[in-house]
Amino acid sequence: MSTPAPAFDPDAPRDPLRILFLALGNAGMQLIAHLPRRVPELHYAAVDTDAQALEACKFENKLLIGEGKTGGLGTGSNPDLARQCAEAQDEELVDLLRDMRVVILVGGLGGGTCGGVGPYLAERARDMGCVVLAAVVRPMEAEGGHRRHAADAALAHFREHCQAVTLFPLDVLREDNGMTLQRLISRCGLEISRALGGLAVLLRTGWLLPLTIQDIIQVMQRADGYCRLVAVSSDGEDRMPDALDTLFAHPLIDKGSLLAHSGGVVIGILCGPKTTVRELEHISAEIRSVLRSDAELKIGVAQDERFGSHLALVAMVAERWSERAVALEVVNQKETDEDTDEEAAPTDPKLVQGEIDLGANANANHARGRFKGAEPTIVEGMDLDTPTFIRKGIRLSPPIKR
Amino acid sequence: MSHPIAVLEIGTSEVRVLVAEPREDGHLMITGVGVAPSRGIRKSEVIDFDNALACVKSAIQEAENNAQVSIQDVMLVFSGGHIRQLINRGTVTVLSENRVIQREDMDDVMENARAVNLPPDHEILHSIYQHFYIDDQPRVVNPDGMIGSRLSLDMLILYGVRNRVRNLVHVAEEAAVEVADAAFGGLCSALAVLSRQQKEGGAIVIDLGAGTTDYVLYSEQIIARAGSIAVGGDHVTNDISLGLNLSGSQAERLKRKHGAAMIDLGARDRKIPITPESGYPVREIQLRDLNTIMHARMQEIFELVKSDIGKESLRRRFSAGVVLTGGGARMARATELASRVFEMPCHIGLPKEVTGLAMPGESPEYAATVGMLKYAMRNPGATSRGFSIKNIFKTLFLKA
Repeated sequence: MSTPAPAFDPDAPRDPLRILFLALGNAGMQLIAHLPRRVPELHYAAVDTDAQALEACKFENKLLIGEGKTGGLGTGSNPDLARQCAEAQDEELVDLLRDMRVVILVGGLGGGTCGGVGPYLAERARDMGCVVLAAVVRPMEAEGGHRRHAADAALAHFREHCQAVTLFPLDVLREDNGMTLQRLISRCGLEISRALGGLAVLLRTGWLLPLTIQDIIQVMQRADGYCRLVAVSSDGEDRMPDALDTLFAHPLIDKGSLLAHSGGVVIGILCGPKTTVRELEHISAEIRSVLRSDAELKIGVAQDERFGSHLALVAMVAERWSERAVALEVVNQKETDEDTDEEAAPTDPKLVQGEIDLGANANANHARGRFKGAEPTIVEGMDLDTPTFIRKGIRLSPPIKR
Repeated sequence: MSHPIAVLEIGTSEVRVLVAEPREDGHLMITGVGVAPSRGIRKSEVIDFDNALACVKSAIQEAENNAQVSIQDVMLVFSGGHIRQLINRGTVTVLSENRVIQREDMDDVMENARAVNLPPDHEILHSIYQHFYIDDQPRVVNPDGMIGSRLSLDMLILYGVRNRVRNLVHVAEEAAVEVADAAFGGLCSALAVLSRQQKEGGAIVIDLGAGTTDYVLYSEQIIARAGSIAVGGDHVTNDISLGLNLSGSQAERLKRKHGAAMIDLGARDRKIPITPESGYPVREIQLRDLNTIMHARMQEIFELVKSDIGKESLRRRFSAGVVLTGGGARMARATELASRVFEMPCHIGLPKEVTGLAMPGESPEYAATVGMLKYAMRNPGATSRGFSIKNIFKTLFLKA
């Protein structure tokens, strides 16, 4: 958990973080169409190659690109053409990004503008010193292989330049077989608006337990940049268990499964001034109880009178995770040894299994069970006959007492 | 009715024998099944000859009784973590005056592509041709009759430790059956569970066995990669046994009945009573712990396969996605985990085009044996020494 700020003054003036939501193409504009109404203090802009779609967008700041090349009719899902359009109007695009600190690109993968202009803008924004996040919708299976391949290619390009790419797969948001396409897209837009709006509000609100954009970036670096973002909220007496249950059952994190398997999680808690320390402790404990024991968890708490009795949780969950090169416990042990006496005889690390001495030495024969004495399976220096959970330092519950 | 074919698989958990007769519609009619729990086999290799022999004899006897035939020879399915792969490109100069490529040039380039230096005691198990190249023209399917000055061929070579495979052959022969041909289980499984369309579209077949995990990568209508890792369902059981302080049989039962490759948050507090065995007290374990152990191991297995396949190969198109087969495919939510690791759809592959006795056609465990039967049915002339470019199950090691 992040350490509390030593002298936080809630009344002190705070330099607001300048956050720009930049909608890419028709999908991007539709997805965050209602966000300015919900969170008006942020900045919004839209870029498209389709004049008609752009005309329908209510954002104040809009830019049509590539009119000379496409006649304002769009690129026909051609990301190369879209990128050429962006390159030709580089100065105008740079003007949109000027003075921003965080740029959040929003679009639908598989199309031309998002796939071509998005990565270009991400690169330009990074060059200008902005923190760049992308929130992109992955097409449905039903949209066909070509579109999905184009989406995968675009995703890789986004990842090259963004600090974090958060995916919103349309398929997982389908509630039942009777759900209409319109409803599915609306639901996706709602989820994106909640998640991104929640994140932006968190980043701009006075923190009691601070969570900064740097915290997020550090976690995302080990997540290879790919994550899921979800926000849930609740009100009333049972707000805490309600919000947790909703979070754990949320389809965007595979009904909690992704949370349970993820190596890195950032949780932002947004609450009113009446929220007690006990409640916050309970939330923290509940979230920790469902995570992997070796998961990296960062929690921040932001409080604001405007939230009243409301409680919102914003979760950024890493989809991929790079293992530490050396297990943390081994590092700690080594540091302890170095601090004390280099000549001291090696001691077994503390047990991780309660009554069973499994974590004592991952390479010892007693941790190989039925493979004891057998020719070991060694891959990249690892003895794969030793249980994976021991080698990875995953802790299990202590034995249940009856 | 055609002559019956018998296939023997000496696996880590079971020895299986299938007897089948080819039908006119191209399907296989399974007429006999023999199964014996394995002893003396670990990680798909013989570690106790006498015990292994007893199991093979028992399975053959059961299949013979079942099919009412006397088995004289078998096709052997093998696997093992010692099996490695490499791709070797052979090149020859087209010798004819008019530069028209002839059958002899193709034979020459195949021999050239198969000429690799292997570590001592290793032998080529399969050599599978991939793409021809004529001068700078890549991916030629059939160069026969085309014009060029230089002909090249990429050959996928599977090789392994000679004596480890010979020990399996030796066990079969001591059980009084001839081994007519032998093949790597991964290739057999792919043959059993993939349709022609799936092969053309691209697929990754992963056979999750007890002792080994075999994989085959079909891409652009060729077998692009294949291999075996000496980690399987036995490791999952062993991890559970050690992690939850259970006997091997308790761990195996728990894995099959309650285990899953993913953690279910909704049931995270669920406790499972453990049926006591002699000398063990009554106790409970948490479902979350069981699934955490299984998830960690299964994820590692899939990551190992992914790493073996390599990033470059994974960039290709796999419209059929990942196909899980073998006994481990039955593990709850294994397809979900594989789908996440490989970032593509995943489903369980069952042996296709099989009729007769129900078990093999409905069980992923039988993918390799059914695949070998299919191969034998399509290549009735396959022998231990003959080689044909169509014959992917080239074996060089039998009866040396």
